[in-house]
Amino acid sequence: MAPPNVATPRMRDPDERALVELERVSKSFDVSPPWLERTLQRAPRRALRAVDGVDLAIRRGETVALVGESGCGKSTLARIVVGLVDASGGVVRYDGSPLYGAGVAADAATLRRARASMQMIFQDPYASLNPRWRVGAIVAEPIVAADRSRSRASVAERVATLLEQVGLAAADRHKYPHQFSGGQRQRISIARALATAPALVVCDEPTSALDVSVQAQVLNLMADLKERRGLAYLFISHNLAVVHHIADRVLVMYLGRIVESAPRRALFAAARHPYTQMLLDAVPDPLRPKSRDAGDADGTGNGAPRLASELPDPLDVPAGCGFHPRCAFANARCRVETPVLLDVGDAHRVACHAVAEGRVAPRVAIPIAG
Amino acid sequence: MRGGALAGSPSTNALVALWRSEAVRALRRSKVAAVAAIVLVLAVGAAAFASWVAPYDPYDLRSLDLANALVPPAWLDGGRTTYWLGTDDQGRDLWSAILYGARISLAVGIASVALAVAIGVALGLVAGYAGGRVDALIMRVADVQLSFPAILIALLIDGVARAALPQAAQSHAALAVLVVSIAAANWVQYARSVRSSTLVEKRREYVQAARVIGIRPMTIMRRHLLPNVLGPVVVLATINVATAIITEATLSFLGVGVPVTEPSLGSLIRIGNDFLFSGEWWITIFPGTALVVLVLAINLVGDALRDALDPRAR
Repeated sequence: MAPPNVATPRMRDPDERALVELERVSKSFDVSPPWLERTLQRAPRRALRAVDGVDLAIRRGETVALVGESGCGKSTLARIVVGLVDASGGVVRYDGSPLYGAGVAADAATLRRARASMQMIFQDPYASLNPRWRVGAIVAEPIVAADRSRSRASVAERVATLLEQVGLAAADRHKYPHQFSGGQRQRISIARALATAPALVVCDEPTSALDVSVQAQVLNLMADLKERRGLAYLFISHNLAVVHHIADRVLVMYLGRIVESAPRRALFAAARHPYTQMLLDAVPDPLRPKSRDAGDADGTGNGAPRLASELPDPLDVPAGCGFHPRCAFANARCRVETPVLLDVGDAHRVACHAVAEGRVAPRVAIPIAG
Repeated sequence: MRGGALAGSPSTNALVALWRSEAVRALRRSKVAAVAAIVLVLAVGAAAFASWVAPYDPYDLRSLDLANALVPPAWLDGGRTTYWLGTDDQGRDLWSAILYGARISLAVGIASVALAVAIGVALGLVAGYAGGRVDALIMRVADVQLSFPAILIALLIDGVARAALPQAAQSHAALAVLVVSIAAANWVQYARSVRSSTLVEKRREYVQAARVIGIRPMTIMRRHLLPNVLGPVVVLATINVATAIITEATLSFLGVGVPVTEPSLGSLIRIGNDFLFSGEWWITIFPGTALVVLVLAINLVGDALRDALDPRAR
């Protein structure tokens, strides 16, 4: 599973197999100009490498959070897991058997079983429900797709149960999506995702489109459902306060690669990668307002790094460590050699030369509000 | 017009309810649209029940008498109260001929639009959803199709049908030839409209949610995308019924369309055209007026529908 030069992370239970496992998964999008333009202007083909050699394992009942800036490939990775996007390289395994990936042809029965056990909740509660369908039909769709022989009455009964489980009324199944608020629509999305009793729910920023007060309700519902059903979540977010609230393990993604992977406590207590430190420092803290010029004001590279620059063009990824142009700790090695994930103890893994060489101190914990 | 494609899906009732309420609202807002709708309902009713409304059966050749030919309208010298709009050169009662002719015109208009919608919506959905080479192929065929005028296609199909079919079958096939020709010229509009809507809709998350569940592409297109891309098609189709009736009239005027024994509005106008200069103006003016009123009513109702369904126009 892991590349040879990476220490295998310690499992909590050696018998515990990963529910979903990604092995060196990559995805490139062809963003070449049209054929005619390429021919006339001699423009080269261009590929956008959205996901670059990602290893990832999600165990049963575990909430894995995937954080990173917009455009870092986290949504693409989530879509690869549920089969919405085909990986250009690597393998996705479900319960040990290959499901998607280069050269993988899973049989229909495996696909059907895996699909029923991996569902997704989307970001935009206004686009994720078909406006012309009644809520009952929306929630019933996966149930009927999984078992066509099921009777109407039993489907309706299941829909009613699901709606009640997510805090809506059974009678709501006769209404249309536009009759609900954003938070209620997200509850409908959750009910649809739970309809086939999945083991994993992939959540692509499920609360970022909601009001803050509603966010908390939806997150509590998700935590509650996890408790009751032993769900695993792959939780995509750029809101670290939300991640702190819900995650068991946190993966930090930068330009298509995982740069830090740690249990939630370890990450928030002692973030190792300069990028993770930067993200944590960027969280607004009303109790400790930071002045804009704080940080690396003296230019020595010793101060706290700031999110000063923008994400580089993903079409033109820097050589070596993708983060070096923004990193206060970068040196000559960082500009040439791409770091791999190394174990720094307690299932905490970091891909950074500066950390490996001891040039970066762990970030001192600052409690996060929310 | 489009109910058949959706029958049985749970979204049908919702769509129809929405569409009805929008339509009703549009008519309430505009008096012009309301009048047009009433005229349209009366015209369609009169045409549909022509055999009860019309005093004579103009298709019954035995009832025709050349002695009754070229009788002027009732209020003119020589007019008879039994033929209040006069008769044509065969002695057919013009009022009856217009009612029966409108029935053919409407049938051809609606049938050709229905066929064009079926072809265009199906190809547009597939092109938009599949993308890539399938999309490129379908849309290039559409471009080629669009570069031929409708009349040319109709003349071509008519020519082929005349050469291929035996003499006896030709009059039966005439209506089918008309419908197919007009549909062949018009499906591109629907394909383009549906393709562009599909490109927008397929990126929306409800479609992705259906894919995650494992719903097959055909089912996604039929049950998720179709109801969401039909809005503009309904409006386009309404207005195109009028265009199709005009095309039918043009083709019948050119002699391609329906047989002489069963005149449509277009062929009545053509027959009358020969007598225009000899003073028998009613043969062409009355069917012409009927055609204008019918097409105008359909266009006005279609416009009102577009205004009602287009959120930007609100």
